[in-house]
Amino acid sequence: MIDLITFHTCLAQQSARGYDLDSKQKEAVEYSGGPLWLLAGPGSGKSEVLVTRTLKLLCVNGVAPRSIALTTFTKPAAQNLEDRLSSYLSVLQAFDSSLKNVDLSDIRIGTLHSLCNDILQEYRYPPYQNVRLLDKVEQDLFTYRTADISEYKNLDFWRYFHHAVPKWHQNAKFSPSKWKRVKAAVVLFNHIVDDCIDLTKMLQAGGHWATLVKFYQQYIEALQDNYRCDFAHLQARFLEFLTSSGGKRFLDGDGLNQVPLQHVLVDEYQDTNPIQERIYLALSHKQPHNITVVGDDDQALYRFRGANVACMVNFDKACQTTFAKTPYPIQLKRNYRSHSRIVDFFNNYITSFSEMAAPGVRAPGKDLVEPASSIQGNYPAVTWLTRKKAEDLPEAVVQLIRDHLVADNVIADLSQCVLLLRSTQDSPGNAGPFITAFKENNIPIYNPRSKSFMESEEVQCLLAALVEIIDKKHSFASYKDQKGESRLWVKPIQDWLNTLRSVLNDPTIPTALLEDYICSSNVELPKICAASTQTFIGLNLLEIIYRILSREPFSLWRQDPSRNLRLSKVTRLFEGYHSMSLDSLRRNKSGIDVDPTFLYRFYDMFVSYLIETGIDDDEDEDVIVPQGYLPIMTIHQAKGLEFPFVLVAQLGDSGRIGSAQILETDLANFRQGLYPRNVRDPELLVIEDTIRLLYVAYSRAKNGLILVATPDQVNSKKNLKRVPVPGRDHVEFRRNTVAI
Amino acid sequence: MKKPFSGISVPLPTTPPVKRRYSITQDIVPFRRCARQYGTFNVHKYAPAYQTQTYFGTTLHQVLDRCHSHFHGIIDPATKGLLPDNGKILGDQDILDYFDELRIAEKLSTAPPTPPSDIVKYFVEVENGLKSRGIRAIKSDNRLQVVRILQYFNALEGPVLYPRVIDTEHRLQADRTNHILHGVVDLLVDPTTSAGVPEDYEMWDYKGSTRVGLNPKDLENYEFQMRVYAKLYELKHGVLPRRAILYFLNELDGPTCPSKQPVNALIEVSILPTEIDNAVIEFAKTVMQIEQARVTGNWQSAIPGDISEKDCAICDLRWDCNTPNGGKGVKLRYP
Ligand code: SF4
Repeated sequence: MIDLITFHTCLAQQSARGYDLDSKQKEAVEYSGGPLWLLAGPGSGKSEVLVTRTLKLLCVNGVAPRSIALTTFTKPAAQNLEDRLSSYLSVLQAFDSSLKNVDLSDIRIGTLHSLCNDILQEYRYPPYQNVRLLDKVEQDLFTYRTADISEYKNLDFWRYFHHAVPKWHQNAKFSPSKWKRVKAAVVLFNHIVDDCIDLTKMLQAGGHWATLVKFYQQYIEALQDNYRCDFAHLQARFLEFLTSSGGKRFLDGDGLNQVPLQHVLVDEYQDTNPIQERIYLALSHKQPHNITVVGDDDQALYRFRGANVACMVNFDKACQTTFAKTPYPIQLKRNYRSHSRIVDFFNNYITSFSEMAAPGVRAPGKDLVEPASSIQGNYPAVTWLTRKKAEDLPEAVVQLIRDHLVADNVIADLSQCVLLLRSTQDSPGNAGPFITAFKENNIPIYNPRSKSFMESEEVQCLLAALVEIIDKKHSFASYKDQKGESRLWVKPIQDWLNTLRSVLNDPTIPTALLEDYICSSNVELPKICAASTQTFIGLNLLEIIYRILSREPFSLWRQDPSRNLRLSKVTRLFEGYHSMSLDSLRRNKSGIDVDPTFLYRFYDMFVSYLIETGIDDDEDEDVIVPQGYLPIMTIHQAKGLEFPFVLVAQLGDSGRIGSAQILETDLANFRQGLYPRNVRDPELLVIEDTIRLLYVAYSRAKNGLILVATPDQVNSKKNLKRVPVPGRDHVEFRRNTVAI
Repeated sequence: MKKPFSGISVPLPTTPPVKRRYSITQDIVPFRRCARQYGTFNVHKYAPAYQTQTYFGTTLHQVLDRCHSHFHGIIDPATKGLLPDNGKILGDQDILDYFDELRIAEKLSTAPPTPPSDIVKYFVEVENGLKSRGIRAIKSDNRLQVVRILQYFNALEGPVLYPRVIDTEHRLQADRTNHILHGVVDLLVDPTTSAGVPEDYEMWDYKGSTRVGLNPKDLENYEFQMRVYAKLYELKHGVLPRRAILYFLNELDGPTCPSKQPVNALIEVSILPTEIDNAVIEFAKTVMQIEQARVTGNWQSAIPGDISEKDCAICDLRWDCNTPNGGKGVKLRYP
């Protein structure tokens, strides 16, 4: 073991962290009186504190690694914590050889889902034995195939839950399509679990709620009958496990080899949901309840995924009801990231809204963030890039970047800037005008989400090429629904084929190899079917996809980082279909072609899924910004990152009320709350969420924050319903901000 | 235009904000085998159509780990000192029948049948576990082979080896200037009968392949891996291990269980200090190359001859790769 002073000195060395922690950070590292409520503002070094606190437990207090659980929100974040832990531990071990046996691999570290799964497996919890865990795509496919709700067409029911149905309007005359019903059902079912809903209460509410409960119960039975488990129920199983005998052994140890769980550390606690809150509290049931939660309620962005900032805001109440103990609050308010003017700006921003001052919205008693960065200098670190007309803004952004930031060597590489937008899609109302301006001025951009996934040229061409190969007669076009109308997939597939055709006809794009591949495949496939003695012809769709990808233009497109990212995603989606054992090609009865039922299922299940549900972007991806490119990102993508120069545009747009906000209110009566909570209207919730979103955007900037907006866009008087961008008081903003 | 940031100049950071951790078997060796394949599947996360290669090895490792736990009574104290299945071997048909029953049960949504042996049970558990991490199950013909090899290993090596195992999945790592070096040694074995000390221990590493026909470059990579492990071992324990051993599990395969250890199954890697130093330098060089490729996006295919034809034969990228077939590339298949 090592003493505390040496511990801090060691980690402050250049080979480790390179600087010492401040007094508040140290207090957070050293606190040992039970629940710790760590409110960590942007750039306050919260990961450093979490990592140091973990190491202090290991190296100063001699806590066994197996007694520590450390969770965070995404896999890359967990990896990042692990990397820092290892790196610092090596420095400590080099200093004191008695620490040589501290083995980090024994710490339970990861996302909560991965920990739940590992522990349930390790303890061979009977209800989780031989169960197959469904990922997101598989949960959708499973629901499509086995959940009765997917066949339920009652229009009133779906109108009632319209908010959960993707791209469907409440006033529609027909019930949503099967895939849209499935997607909505998955949202509702997951909320039932995540929000700890009392099913009896919901049933008693009658009407559509009672119907929902019945469908949910059928879904659970289907999961059990099929030995499947989705991610939401993985957590539910885990919570049950903690009360079982195995769970007790896990929590309290067995007095022999098995050590008790003594410390629970949770990162990004603002993105926790109620069932996770219960899990964390259950994990720390042992006196003195050593649970450390770290996060920033002002940076909560994931309500749409079921997260609920109330868990962070009400952590004191949760501890009081569960442990009869008040957590010790520490606020890490020193910001080491941004120029002081940027800090002042986002401080003013978040506190200028009466909506944010209402009880239960922000953690109580929070102070302003204090600037402490080494970035200094008397220059307008917050700048307002403005033009009278919105259409002139993109050109202004180009000029600023090209003629100032680059030309004057303010930055050494384009990747030191970022343009943050609500939506990065290449359409007129979104990033379109910016993308055009950058292209016209030869500024290379990195924008993997410029197209909605299914609209991008490479994805459409890839799928079209596959259709041309496995269904050369275009049987997809012949399917009709009960009313005699073409099935929903027909038009989109035709569009893909048109996209492919126009690429093939474009003389500037090399496509000869692809054309040859399609033609030859059309000749060979019937022969393979005829030669095969079995129904399955020993070929799956992903194999064909890779052969298509090897042909130009795909092989060229893959050199473009954004296209590459999307093509890689196509392969992962096919992998989901593959996991249901549905993608192996079969021949038809006469043995001369592909089985029509195989094709039908491919269109009906998989292609419809792609078309109708709108494939989400991966939120958890590890963002790698390539050098030499200007990144264009959504604010969600930028969460956790920092850039020397941040440009935020599309200011003045209002957020939309979605399922998450409506369910927050609608489910209030059914939630088995640990403590009473304020229920707020969806309209207010969406304002809060938008304010938090912009707060995250503004606090990414280190040296310069550039707000890109017309005078109208910052004028709150004109945008009463919108969330004002620089705060409620635009006059103050105009007076104090340098405009260029 | 006004120039608000005149006079400021922000340099590009020279090192990544956090040191990346590089695993010898998951990053360095695959990158050295073929950078293009590594970039595509490990960095850009394409989903391979055939995952045989990776998951074959992972499954073998994880089941063997459970066999050790079984013997040491870690899973269930009642099995302490006992060989899984008491070394008994199921015939191929019995195993296939079970997989069939399992498949049918899954299809009919009935309870999965009781596994016919410990090894099959562990195998199915491991498969499920991999699945929950988004790693898909391997193809059915390989499943049989994996179980067969596991049974043979268990019966042939288990009785002598298991009691000597000091640690499994022994983790080692070290902090370098701009990265962290990380490795997991499959087994630490104490060949002495007395309670040993680290300088007596042997490091064992399982390989899910045969020794015969192994590409020299692959062998070179494996030796390199063991030498880096030896360095990490030395950093942790202050001494070098006594021996570094590679065990080629697929040498056991065949219609029946071998009656003695196949001569090609086990090789000892020499771990002289100069060899170790060279390996560590190589490691750092490879890390630099990976970091560079991440920035430039340029992931090169292996040089013909440097990679085994077998690896290329199951690579999804072979259709536009000039490396396989001694540099001639493969003929495209239709469709
Ligand atoms: S075919 Fe061989 S050389 Fe080419 S990418 Fe695949 S593994 Fe590498």
